[in-house]
Amino acid sequence: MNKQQGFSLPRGWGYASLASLIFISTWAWAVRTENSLGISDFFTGWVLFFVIALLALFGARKRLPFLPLGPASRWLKIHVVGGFMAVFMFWLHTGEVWPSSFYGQLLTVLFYAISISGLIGLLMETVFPSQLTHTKMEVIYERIPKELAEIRNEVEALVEECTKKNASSVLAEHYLETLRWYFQRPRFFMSNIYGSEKPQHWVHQQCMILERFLNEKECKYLDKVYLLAEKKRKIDFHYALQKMLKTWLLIHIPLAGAVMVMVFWHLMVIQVFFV
Amino acid sequence: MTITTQERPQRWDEPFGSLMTDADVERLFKVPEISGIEENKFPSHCSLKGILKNDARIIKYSAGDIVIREGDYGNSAFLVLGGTLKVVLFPGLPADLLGRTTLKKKTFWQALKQLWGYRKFPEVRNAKKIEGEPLVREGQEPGIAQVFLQDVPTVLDQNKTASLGKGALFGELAALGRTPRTATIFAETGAELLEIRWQGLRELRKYDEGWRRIIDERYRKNALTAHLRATSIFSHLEDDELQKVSDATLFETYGQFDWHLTYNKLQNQDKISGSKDEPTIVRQGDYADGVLLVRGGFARVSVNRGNGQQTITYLGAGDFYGVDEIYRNWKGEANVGMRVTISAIGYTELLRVPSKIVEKHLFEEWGKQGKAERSTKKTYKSSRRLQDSIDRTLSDGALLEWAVSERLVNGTQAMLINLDSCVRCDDCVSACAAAHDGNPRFIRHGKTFENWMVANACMHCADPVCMIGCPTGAIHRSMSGGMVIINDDTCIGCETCANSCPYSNIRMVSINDNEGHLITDPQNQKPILKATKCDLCADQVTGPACVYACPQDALKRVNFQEIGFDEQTTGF
Amino acid sequence: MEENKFGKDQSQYERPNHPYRCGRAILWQTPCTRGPATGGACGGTRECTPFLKNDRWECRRDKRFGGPCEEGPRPNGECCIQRPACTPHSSLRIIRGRVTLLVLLAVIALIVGSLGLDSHFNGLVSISDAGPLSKSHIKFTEKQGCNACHQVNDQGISGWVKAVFRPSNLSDKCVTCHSFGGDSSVAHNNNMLTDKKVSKTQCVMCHREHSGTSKVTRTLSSKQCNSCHKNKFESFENGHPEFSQKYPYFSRDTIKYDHSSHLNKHFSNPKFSDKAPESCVACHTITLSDREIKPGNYETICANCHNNQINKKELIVIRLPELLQNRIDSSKLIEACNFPETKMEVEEEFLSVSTEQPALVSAFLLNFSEEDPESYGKPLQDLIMSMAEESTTSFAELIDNQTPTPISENLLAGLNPEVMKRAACAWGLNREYESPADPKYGGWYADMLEIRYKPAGHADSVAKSWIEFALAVATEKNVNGSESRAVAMREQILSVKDGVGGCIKCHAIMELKDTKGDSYLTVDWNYKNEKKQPYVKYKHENHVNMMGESSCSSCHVLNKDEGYMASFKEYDSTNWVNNFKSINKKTCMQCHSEDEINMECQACHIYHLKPGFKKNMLAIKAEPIPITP
Repeated sequence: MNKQQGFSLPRGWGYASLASLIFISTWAWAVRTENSLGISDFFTGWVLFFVIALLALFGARKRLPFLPLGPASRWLKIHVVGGFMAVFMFWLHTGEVWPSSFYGQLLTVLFYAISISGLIGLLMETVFPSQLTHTKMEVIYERIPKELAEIRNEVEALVEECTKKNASSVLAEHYLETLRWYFQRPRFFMSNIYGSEKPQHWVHQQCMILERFLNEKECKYLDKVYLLAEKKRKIDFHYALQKMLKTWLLIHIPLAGAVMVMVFWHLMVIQVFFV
Repeated sequence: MTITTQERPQRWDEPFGSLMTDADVERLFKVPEISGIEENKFPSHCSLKGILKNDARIIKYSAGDIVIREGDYGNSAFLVLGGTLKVVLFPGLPADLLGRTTLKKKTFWQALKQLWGYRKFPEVRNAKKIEGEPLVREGQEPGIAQVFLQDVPTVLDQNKTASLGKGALFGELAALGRTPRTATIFAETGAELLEIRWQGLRELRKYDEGWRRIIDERYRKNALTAHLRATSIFSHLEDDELQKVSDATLFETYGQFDWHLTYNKLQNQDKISGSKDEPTIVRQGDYADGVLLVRGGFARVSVNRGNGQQTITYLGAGDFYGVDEIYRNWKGEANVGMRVTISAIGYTELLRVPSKIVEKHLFEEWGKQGKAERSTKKTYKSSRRLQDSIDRTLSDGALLEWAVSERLVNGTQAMLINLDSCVRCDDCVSACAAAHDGNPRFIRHGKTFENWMVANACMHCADPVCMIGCPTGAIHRSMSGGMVIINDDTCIGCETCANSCPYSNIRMVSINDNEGHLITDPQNQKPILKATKCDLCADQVTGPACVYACPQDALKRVNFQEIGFDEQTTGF
Repeated sequence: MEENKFGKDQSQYERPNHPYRCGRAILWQTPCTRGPATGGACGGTRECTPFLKNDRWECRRDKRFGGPCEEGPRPNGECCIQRPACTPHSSLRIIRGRVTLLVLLAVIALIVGSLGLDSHFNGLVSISDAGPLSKSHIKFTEKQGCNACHQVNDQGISGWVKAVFRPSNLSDKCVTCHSFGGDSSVAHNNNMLTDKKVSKTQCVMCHREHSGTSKVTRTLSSKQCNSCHKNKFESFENGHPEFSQKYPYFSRDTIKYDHSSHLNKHFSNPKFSDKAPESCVACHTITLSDREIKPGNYETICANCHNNQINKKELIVIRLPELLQNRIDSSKLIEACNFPETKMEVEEEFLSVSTEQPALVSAFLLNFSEEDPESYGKPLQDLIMSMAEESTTSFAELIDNQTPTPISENLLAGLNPEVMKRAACAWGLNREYESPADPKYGGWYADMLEIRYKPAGHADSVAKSWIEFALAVATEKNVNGSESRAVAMREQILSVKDGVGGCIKCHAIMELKDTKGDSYLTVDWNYKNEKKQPYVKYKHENHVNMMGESSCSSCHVLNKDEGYMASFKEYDSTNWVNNFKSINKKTCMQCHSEDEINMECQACHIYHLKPGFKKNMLAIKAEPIPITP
């Protein structure tokens, strides 16, 4: 089954329209309040607070999968749309991009950090899955060490066998010098993130340079080693991308906690000093 | 280190009827149908007395009580010992009269309580419950909803019914065929029935010739009529008409009943040439000599495409094909042959109603009753849908082609993951674990095709081969909902179902006690195993937790036939 | 046949909720099949737990992990496959939970810590400071900190909690230093709408602090003005009401200066053209001027041409009129005047040396009709006699009797008693008094038949006093019914052509009403200050600087209507014609329109009424400097 031909609305467009509507209404009401010499910051502040609270509730929803609170996909759409809306609402509420007070700056830094991390996460979640699919293989992240260890054992067995049967140590030497580093653990982490073809080239090169030094029989072993190296390369790719997909939340969620603390502090300070 | 042990469970640890006594068994021997059985044909570990005592029970019904309900999945057959029963034939009783209840889902608060049920150890079972005692529930029969009809005379008035009296045997079709009950049967007067669960029935059929003959004959006869009755085009025929059709119907089977045993072998063959070995039922272009109704199993529908066959859809139990071709023929169109090739996948049971019969009893009737237009419209519609499927591009039809060749079309709730959307976050696995006391019931790996993965989660097959060998009936089809569930308490860990499942969706686990120590058999210290699999979150408020928890909308439980026809579900 | 890697024996459940991962996996080795134990200890130190059956140890490795091993357990009952324990690592979920907790605690610690530091690092790392204050507020609030404006920080936490429940009264604090012309909590500081109920205003509605050192107020937008004003409009161009008809000239001038006659006639007169001002700015200084551009003072701009006119117009207080008979006692006269004892020729027939009428001033003071010699003969000659004897005394008395408070000092300032005596002595002898020299230096002098006053120059105080006197007495109820005389005197003194000093040529007289409702006339000597429009601001300087010094006439257009001077004939100052045409909105809109220049309300209007500061602002700083000799 292919994706539908022709134009289709991006997912979450309904929420995006609703969010735009809410934002524009808030803005209009804020302008109205200001024009009547009211203080619009209270209104925009509370709207911003509820948006942030809704965003934070997504974390709670993820921990309660068995309660009928709505499917997680709906929550994610609301979260992403709400996240974008929160940035604009933030600017509407503060009226500026960078505040002049220390605690305001702290809150802003945390807010921008979490927004940017969310944006990066969204980007990764949109781009990485199909890249992983294109490797034509699947591997569960937690099983990667086992897979790599198996490959490594197999390669070493091949090298050993080749050395024994052909009484030539070229392959073994090259393995010890260069390839062992490669098979030790996942490599080329950053190259895989950037989608560069460096790992592919490296593997190809490191295997091909042996060609002129091996005889026919040994070449058969080399071919097997190459296949295993390619398999390992794909696993490395999975490792890099899946690790990113799993660890970006390690930044996003602690920041969420920090932002919530600062938001509550902000509410307290306003209540004490201004209301 | 303390070791928790438990006696290895045995087959008859939990008899079907806890109140069955030896005296009851003796009484049964006086019943003609039982007395005719040759006892010595039965092996010692599976004696007739044992079967009667443990795999059968005597139940009394009052007038008006419903014995079996149409549509329920049943695991037992009934022998009438006394009294009169009525079979509701047509049009059938509405659901509220049958007192249907749904599977009890957890309430919101019960669901919330799961939050506090966080377990530190995997696969914990309450050892106190099972320690030292056999798994017997005392004094209570497994819950039978004694639903009864309020107004028997009206029911009799409004519906066609047939009577069953002493010595009648019913219900064996559903029990042996893993199919739903075809009719509702209730007691007209007070009645006494012998209920035999299908494991006992299987042994009776296996070891006694008389029972085998009866069951097989009736299987052919009643199943056929019932099936025809259930098919839309024949459903409104009068009894005698239907009988004529039934008499003329041919019964055909293709492939092997235990196809799952050879399934794995098939996996390693070349898929392309392998499909050429499928037994052909009709070929494209052949003269349409009858309507084909699929009784059981699956049939592949394909068209010629170059050097091969393009699968356009598949037929499962209840589907039929051929009306359109016969109709056009009858109308006078020239050179109308079968538009598709139909071949058997694994195992197919077919009914073939010859075209002459169809012309006479169907088309002419339509013409007489003025139903021609409406009925032809229906056939036109379905033929249009078929044409759309035929016209589908190769690329659009690729997933279905693959699913059919992998026999995944058996599944009604296959877990299909769109790998282009899946971020590999494992939220589905976490949610599944959260909904099952901390133990996930599937693994997020499985066969892949392009960007689709069918994960190793129970597909709740239309033809659940896993149920075939279960000695205790722990794995069963739930009364409502139709999902295949393993009753953890009665599972003895024999691994039959796990070995049977062709898709490796059932896994054995060793169980732990509350402190996290392995529960072992005291006699040989082997760990007690239980079979586990996806139960479609039957008791959860939210339905399948995996679908509910996927943030990317990447995971769905699908029936491939529906995906095949519906163009709208291409991207999710 | 390839092993089915998804098979039930080949692949077991992944448990993402399990808190630990095998330590070998972290090191990229094959993880053990058992996985970490629940306490976090390694679970894979051995493969199985051997079982003693019939004196033999049997391997109990699970079939899924390979089934019973070939070697079997060791004789002592230990598993044959043992490995050193690994160090299980926490799973990613657990790490995430820990990091989150850590970050939460860090932020809370930061907040709590910063609260403790507050007093030392004012504003720098304060966790509750909302930002730097504006330049003007930043210094004096430093010591007190937040408490300067916010009522908090009484006693730490309890103070804060109290502050939550107490309504904030920031606006009340502002008026500690800031003062206005009216109530600070009323719109425009002016209770204009007494019949309607209007909401109170608060300073914070418009003024926000903590926005940085450069800002104090927000820019009040025109839309916000619309929130209260019933007359709502979009912009200056669209909807702003037209200026009032007479704008910007709301009352008649107090100094009659006809711009058109001067500009069109007098300045081009060759006699004066060298003295004539070159442009408007020669008389009106625009530097440092706002709305009002006063012309310079008389000395600067008028004296050049008009000075010589002033001292030409003299006041005649006493004139020897035509007398019918001589009533003066000559002996007394000789004694009073210190004449030498010579025979005075007593004429039989008295022939008055003068044929004039008495001065109107005298007529009023002595209350006689100046046309009737019968009536004025005696009083006047009595006056002459007393002038000879006592000089100014009696005359002064006369003056003093006219008003509740004696003002003769002002009216007769500079009067040398000799003048009166000598003149009286001459007139007593029925002779003209001959002045010894030409009275060109000004002041009181007697000449021939008159005692005159010659104004010294502009703003001559005597002339002023006489004019004011004349204005004052004409309204008082004269018991003797001599109102007509007062009016006559007044007319003469206030004559444009002949009045003393010619003051009234330029200074206008207006009719006002007193508290009882009676009308009275008065002259405002000063240049009339423009009506105070406290909410309007206009900077001439900016405009002229931009448009050039000769641009006055682009807004101030001469009114060709000739009625300017004529309107001064009426004392009622409400009916008047202005020298210049009113300035209307269209004039301003030449530049202040949609596509051109700023049209914000605050460009031309001020919200506050007379904003200022209270003394207490400096009271604490400034100490009175004792004056010591």
